[in-house]
Amino acid sequence: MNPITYRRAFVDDAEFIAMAILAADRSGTPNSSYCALFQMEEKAFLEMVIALLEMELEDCEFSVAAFCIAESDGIRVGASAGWIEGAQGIPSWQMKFTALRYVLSPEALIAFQNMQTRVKGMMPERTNGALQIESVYITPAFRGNGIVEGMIQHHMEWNQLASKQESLTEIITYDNNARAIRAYEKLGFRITSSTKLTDPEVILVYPADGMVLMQK
Amino acid sequence: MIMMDTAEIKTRLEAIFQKTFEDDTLQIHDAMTANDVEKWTSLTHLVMIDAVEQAFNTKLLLKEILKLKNVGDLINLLAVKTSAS
Repeated sequence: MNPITYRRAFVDDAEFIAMAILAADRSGTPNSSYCALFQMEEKAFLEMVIALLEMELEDCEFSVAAFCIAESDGIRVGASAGWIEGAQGIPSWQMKFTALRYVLSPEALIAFQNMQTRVKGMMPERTNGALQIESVYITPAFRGNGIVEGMIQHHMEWNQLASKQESLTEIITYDNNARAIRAYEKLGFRITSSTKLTDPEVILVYPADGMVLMQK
Repeated sequence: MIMMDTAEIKTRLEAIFQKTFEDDTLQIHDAMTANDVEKWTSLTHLVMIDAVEQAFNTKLLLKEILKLKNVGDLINLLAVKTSAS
């Protein structure tokens, strides 16, 4: 395998990042929480994410500037987002959903209203000031080569260089994603809290019915 | 658009917050954020922005909303927008 190089993402990476966000969200299942939440087909979702990425938001999972790109021989093989929660003075969810308001169709907003009530309480609360790692994705042929660790280290280094001194790093993932949880545990992360929904139908459209917050 | 003073904006905004976040006793203040209101979620956040736009007959730009750190910033933004007509 050729050496892996890491760099910050640019707007030109938007298509790959959108695909990475969707793949990470699906978490190895056929379901996407975003597609379920907004009742969107994958193609429409990817187009919407690219539009969001082009808005040049900061410090949230739809921020190009938050992404690290891993490459092998000039080919993109991995992506992950990393940002300091609350760095813009408001929670990242507030930034994300405010931006979504400007790209979602009226139909998607209605779908969101209906679904959000059912999945309320699923997302663990992020710690203000902690480095957030999100949307971690590696192309299948390059998995198991330490690229996740490399990307997380780069997020930590970049934030330290920017004087955003984090003392805590957090990752939120689905509770049934055993492979990812094991991988993060090997990197020193530990599950510190979890959520579980009681609605049995959520699992039919969502990748899972619970999430874990892992901290390091 | 009707020009409004800060007190009037605050009164109207408080009514919107009470209705959106389902709390008749909610009293807004300048330093208030989403962390201070139990029912301020991703969904009610969007409902609140829509209600503000309708009540104040204005459109809020994404870049304007993303600069708001608290309710006081929102009141100031609405004061500027309602006086700019």
